[in-house]
Amino acid sequence: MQRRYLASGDRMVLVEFPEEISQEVNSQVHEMAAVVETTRIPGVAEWVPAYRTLGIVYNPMETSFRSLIESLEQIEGLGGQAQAGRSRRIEIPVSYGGEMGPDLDFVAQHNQLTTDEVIRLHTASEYLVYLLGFTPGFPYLGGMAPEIAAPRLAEPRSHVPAGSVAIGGSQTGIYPIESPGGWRIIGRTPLKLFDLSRNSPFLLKAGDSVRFRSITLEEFQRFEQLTE
Amino acid sequence: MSSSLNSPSWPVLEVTRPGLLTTIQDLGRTGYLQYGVSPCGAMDPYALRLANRLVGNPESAAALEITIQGPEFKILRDCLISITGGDLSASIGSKLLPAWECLRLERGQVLCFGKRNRGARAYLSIAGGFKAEQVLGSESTDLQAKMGGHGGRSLRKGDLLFGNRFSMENQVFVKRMLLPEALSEYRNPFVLRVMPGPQTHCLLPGAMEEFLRAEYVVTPNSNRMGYRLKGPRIEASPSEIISDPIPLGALQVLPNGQLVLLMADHQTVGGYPKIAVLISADVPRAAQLCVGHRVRFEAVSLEQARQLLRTQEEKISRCVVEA
Repeated sequence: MQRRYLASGDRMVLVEFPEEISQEVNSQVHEMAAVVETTRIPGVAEWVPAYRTLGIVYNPMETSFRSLIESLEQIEGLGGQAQAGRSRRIEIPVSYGGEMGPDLDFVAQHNQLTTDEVIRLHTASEYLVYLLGFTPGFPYLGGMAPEIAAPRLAEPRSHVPAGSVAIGGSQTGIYPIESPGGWRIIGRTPLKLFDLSRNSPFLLKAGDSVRFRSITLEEFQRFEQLTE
Repeated sequence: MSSSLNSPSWPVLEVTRPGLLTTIQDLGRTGYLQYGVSPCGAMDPYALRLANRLVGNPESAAALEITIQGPEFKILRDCLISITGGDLSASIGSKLLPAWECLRLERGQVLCFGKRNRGARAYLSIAGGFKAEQVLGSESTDLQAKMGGHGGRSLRKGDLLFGNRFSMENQVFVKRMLLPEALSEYRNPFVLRVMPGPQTHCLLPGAMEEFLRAEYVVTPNSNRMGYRLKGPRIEASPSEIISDPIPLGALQVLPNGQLVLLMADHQTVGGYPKIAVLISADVPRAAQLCVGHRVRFEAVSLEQARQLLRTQEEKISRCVVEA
């Protein structure tokens, strides 16, 4: 397992894995994050998994770059098992098209598909949550069929509704809160990805796997009423 | 005054003029970067921590961060306050208030901020701390996610700010001040110290030398997320990387060759090369930059960065004195 430790400023160690976006490399990042979480190395404040890197934030008054690297090297062999029990599978119901997914037609036309084919392809894959970023709880999902890739909007929308499921290039994601956004919106989920009233406010965690399921607009509305 | 009058339900300040951007901030959110939550918190944690120490609060208590053009408040109850950070001409009536010390304000007075003399951000702390909305372990305002602090937004006219229980009998802090060595100086041009970033390999030959030689100007397109700097174009190749974690104080090169210095509200991950990272000890001074200020960068080693931070921490722990 190749990894490299770099200083990213005086309070972050950047652990680099092979330079590619792949589920295999990203899983190594999450394995290491899981080990860091359970090991509780003195001075470590928090960590940020990304595609092929793990940022470890530390307090330089409690530890040093060198001793932190030493601790991290010691836990390199661990992993596998820690991750195995943690990976969760989450199903996301989505009402595709119409008002909920104003760009579904565009994505279909762009790829010379019918909207039903886009939905079928989007719901067929199992996605890996590569990382969360952009806004609280926004998942960057890997594993989308390349047949439904679509370019981002030239001019981002200033208000994308919470729950919007969208495609940006070869990636797909879900907007947890209303925010600006330039991805093509193909549907919306009634699930709340970020909800401060819940014990665990974030529905997803980096490393989870996700599947989408198509629901009707009526099911969407019923779901919303149930959870209110 | 009896302490029962200082119950938590009593408002301390009424906002009669909000100023440009006044928010509630503490030392920010820790532990949620992995969920995409920005750290937020005081841009100048040095000034915030000292403001709190001066009034006898824990260093991490929530205080007001006041930006460039300050607000005006009606004092609704006797209180002890301190003002630190940039000099934004705080006054009561025609009397300018001293900064970096503990002051007593009385009900009915009007606290007003005026001309910006030095720096960009002042911190107003009250004994007992402000009572604010705690979200994910912090009372800081996250303006992007619209959460924490005062309804997740900057203050508006008519807002009432509540203080935590505090007894005015606790007069011991009045006349508390700082040793002169602890007062921050904000000199233009600012010299900020950096460490080489994790993507220096993206720089073309000579670009790092150019970056360290050049002077940059803070442009109007700057906010709590980051400052856009105008100066010599820095060439990076490739111009984008696979998105990776962003440390506070990262200097990113945009594809147009412009630099961005990322501050408290920065996003957690990003895809532009980070050619340098501000050292922690200089984050507070960077917080005092405003549009038009000039900046130069100086490279230091990791060991020097740590030493400078240690010196700063020692200063914070021993500089509060009773006059």
